[in-house]
Amino acid sequence: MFAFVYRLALRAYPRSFRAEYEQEMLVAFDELLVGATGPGGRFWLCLRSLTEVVQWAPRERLEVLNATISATPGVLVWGSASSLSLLAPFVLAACYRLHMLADREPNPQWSALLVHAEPYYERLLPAVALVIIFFSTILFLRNATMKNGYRYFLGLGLIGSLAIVALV
Amino acid sequence: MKRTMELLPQISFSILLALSLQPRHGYEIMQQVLEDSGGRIKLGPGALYGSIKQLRIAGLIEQVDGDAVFDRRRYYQLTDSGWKRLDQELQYFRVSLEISQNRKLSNLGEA
Repeated sequence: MFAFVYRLALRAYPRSFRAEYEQEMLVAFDELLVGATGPGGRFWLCLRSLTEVVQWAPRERLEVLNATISATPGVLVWGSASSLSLLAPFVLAACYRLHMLADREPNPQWSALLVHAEPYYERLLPAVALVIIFFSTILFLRNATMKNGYRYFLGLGLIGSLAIVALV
Repeated sequence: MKRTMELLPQISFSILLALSLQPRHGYEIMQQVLEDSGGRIKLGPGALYGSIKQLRIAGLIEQVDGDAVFDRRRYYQLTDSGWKRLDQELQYFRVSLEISQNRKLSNLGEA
């Protein structure tokens, strides 16, 4: 059971790392399990090994990300767009909250501001989100061998954009 | 002008030290590191293979060709650069030890 859990945890590593070291890591873990005494010892060994996975797998992921991303204009544009689209739901939520507050305690200045801003954040943001979704989907379809870095950015962009559409 | 040297992380240094005796596979390295550190450094597969990967990229250790059909474990050994680097690290520690002895810091814990 411990070996099964550990095998599952190793999925946190990037594919390239697993292709190179997964088998060896499993063998080493099995050998450590044999050396551990009693269920308590095995449990602590498993816990310690899982902690290491939590500590080291993100490093490997980041390395893969750094290796695959080059600062081309396309990556910069899509990266910025993705990041902004991820921030947008929070901005919207804040606006909505202000709107509710303004309704509860009418403040002429806030109300006027929100009345002016409302059409923009209600129409513009979903439109931007739809544009991001459209182009991200096209990029996904056009480039089947896309590198991991692009996938991360586009994935984040898609999630952010869908979140905006769902919220608005 | 003297070139500055960046010290290896503790785990990487311990792995180099463990491989200085003979080529070893992962489990043996973990056991040797445990023994060398007097039981203080307990390496698991995550830390071990993360460091092994870094050391291989740096060209300090290499995989030894073995019979992969019968043995799923891979053996690693120090490269020439690995030996040089280990020597540099040990030289640093020798100098540090000498300085600490000159400054009578060896019994600092007892003070």
